[in-house]
Amino acid sequence: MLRRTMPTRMPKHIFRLIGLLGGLLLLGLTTKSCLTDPSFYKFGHYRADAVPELAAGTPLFRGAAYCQTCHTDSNAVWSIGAHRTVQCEVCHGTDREHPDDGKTLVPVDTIRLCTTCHEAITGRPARQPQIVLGEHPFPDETTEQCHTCHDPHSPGDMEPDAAPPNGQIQDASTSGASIDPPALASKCAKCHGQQGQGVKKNPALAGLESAVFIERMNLYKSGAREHKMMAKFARSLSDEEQVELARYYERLTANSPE
Amino acid sequence: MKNDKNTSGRREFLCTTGKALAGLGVIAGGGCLPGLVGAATASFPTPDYDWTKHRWAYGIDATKCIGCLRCVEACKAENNVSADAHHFRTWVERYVYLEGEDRARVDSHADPQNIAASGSESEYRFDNRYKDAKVTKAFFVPKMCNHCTHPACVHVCPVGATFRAEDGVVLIDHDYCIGCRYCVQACPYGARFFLEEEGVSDKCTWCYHRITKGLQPACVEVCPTKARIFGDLNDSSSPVSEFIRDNPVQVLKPESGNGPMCFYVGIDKDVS
Amino acid sequence: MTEIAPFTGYVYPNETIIPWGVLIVIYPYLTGLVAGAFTVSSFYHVFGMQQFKPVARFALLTSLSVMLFVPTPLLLHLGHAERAMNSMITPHLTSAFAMFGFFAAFYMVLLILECWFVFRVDNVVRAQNSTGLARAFYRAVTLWSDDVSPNARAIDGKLLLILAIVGIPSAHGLHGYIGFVYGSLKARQWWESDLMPVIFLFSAIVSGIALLMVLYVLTSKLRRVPIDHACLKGLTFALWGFLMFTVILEALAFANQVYKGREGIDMVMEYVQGPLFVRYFVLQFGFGALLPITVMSIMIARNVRGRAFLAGATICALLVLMNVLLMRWNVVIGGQEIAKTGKGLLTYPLPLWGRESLVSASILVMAPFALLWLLTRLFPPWADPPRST
Repeated sequence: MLRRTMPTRMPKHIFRLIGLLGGLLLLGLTTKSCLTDPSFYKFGHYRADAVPELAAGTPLFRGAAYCQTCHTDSNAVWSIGAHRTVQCEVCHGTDREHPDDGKTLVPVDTIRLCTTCHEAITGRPARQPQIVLGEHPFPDETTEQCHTCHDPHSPGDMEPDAAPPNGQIQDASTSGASIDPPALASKCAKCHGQQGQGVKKNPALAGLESAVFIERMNLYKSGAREHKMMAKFARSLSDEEQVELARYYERLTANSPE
Repeated sequence: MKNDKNTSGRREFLCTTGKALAGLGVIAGGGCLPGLVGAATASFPTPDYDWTKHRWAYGIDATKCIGCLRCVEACKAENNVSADAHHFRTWVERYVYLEGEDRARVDSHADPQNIAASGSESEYRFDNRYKDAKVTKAFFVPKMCNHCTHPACVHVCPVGATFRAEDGVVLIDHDYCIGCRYCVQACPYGARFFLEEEGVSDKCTWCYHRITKGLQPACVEVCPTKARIFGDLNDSSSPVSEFIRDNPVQVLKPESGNGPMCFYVGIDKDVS
Repeated sequence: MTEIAPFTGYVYPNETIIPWGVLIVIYPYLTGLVAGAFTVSSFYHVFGMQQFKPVARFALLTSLSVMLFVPTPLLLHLGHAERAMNSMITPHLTSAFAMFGFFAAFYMVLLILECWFVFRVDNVVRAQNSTGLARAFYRAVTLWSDDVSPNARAIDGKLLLILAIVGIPSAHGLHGYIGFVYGSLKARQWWESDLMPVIFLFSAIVSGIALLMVLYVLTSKLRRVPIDHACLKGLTFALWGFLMFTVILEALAFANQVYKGREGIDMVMEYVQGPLFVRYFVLQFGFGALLPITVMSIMIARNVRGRAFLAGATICALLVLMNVLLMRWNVVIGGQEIAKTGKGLLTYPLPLWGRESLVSASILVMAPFALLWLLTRLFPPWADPPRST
């Protein structure tokens, strides 16, 4: 169409325009090929070098395999306990410099930590062990922490003592030393109250007939009456200690100041 | 005759040229061959990890999730994600049906009410707002990038900064992204977000830096109830292969056509 | 400082920061003005409608000055503006955004070429009649050629026609692809519609016509020249026709969505009857479309002329400009205020100051007109000289 009606010659500005546009196009194409990353288009429409870069990051969580190289005792308890599906770093936190930075990773506010999983919240499946905070028998208002009674590495095994959880299971005392009922009772106090008055669901021991006390302890000891925590306590007492403790509590109402 | 001579001369020229080119071709091909063979055997992306040998997938058993949110916090720690309530590579939703209601009430730990309960924008808890209500059904659903086989986000990226790797993981090249956020719009699952500080888009990468080293993603590692499952579909005994084989599984928003690779068990009609 | 969007119901945690803000509302508004102004110019340059001659060259300059500002809201919005050229270096051809780079570059060159040809003869004359810096400037602009022979002018005319013809689909592609970006996004129900590119396009044409009406009246007043009423009438008719069609399209798209009633429609209806009601039905449809259509229909039916017509036409044009801005807002922001969960609604917090704010958006909308003023001084498009200098 253009050729048919086109007059004699093309004006010089048209050539200059074409030259200018051609130059710009060439510049554009050259820039494009220069600036294209060499690894682009290798596997697809992306920079192939990005993949090794993404794969190169240093992992933060190291997992139990790393912790157990030093913490063999805790690991021995943890790896067969109910918390074996809970990785160490979940509760202890992550620390890339551990142990070189000298920091220890022992949780302090265990109520906040443990209730993260174990508080009864709508939506949690029933098989998950859960407590209602207001109803759970915390032993003592001044020492209300989960790890006071529960061994965090194996929470099914209750740790009667407030000693740091190190996985040691208290066996029946065989030392043959004289029996000290108040000292024994101090272990019970955490759940049954300083004066044995009972705390929330945990029954009062003060004034309880010693025969009943002994019978119940034997039921726990044999497992006929199921209670993980009481079973441990019952097994930790020798027969003599059991009798003395029973008598101690029987007498307690008369003597307790309250 | 003149014509014959020209013709035969031309023919001779073409023959010689043709032979020469063929010879060059053989040499060139032979030269290339070692290069090609070399390329085929080089392990990519790392010498210890060959992405052509894996086909990753993820499983979520919502019947096991206890909403403890350890996964959310672990992911943020592992991947350096902003410690606030607006940037999540993974999150958990709670669905609660109250008596007399047909539709679930949904909330996540990013809800201002739950943030107030946890006391912090970087530590996550679900509150107990339904404790006095009559609840008929309630469960938790973990969510994350579904690493789709036909990702809408990859489709719309104007520069090729996000892509699907050969092992099935959808990744983002933070050095190439221009920060237009078209991918954030395109994802039907809300899995992507924008990192204002870095000016690029971000999302779950199935902890690519971990899985290429034989580790599990951080969220799977820390889940205390095995609600999160990860593995290689090429390995029929991997946890995810067994999960898919042993359960009727479903995906989120199948009508989107994205072909997600996160397989759910235990979600119900209102989960979207 | 990132603005968090408050919400009701349930939204995905990542949705609480709205990704596309006011700058992404301004961007289609500007490209719409570009496409619309070009369309007005093509009424004369392509379709030979003589009544549009007074605004034809001015419309080209308007299109050019807005086009030069079109990349700015995008560049300001990007997380890495310095990497913006990645979309042209390695364009991902499945992405509508990548195609923008080529449409925009092509159209920019085309527009500059068309302006060049339209103003070439005038520039040659100006080069010959000026001295010093001005002369050097005009000589450079004309590529150091002073050929104004009939031969050269004939070629100018031919090329101009070709450029103008190619320019129509080019300009419409430039703006239409934006509609396509929204219309093709399956993740957001408010956006997903086959009609979206057409709606954007027709509302762009409408905004361009309205803009030219307002600018023509304004510049005529400033230059103290009489307004060509045939031109104004032509523009008004065009506005009237295109606006009616636009309203029909928008109403159709909405009606379709409601009628189909897909999953998530409950939240759409709650949104439209709640937070969106005033912005959408009252302002956009009511004041922004139905009112101007009614006023223009009355003016046309009753053959209103003179000052009344001038006032009526200008007010309608201003209302339409508001309509189109609101339409962009209601689509871009509105779509993001409906959560992808289909169970919640968010509220976009418009900051006053900052990169993506009321202030930055206002500056970007006004800046092209400052450039336009400059361009009209350098390349006066008027067919008639001003009464006073």
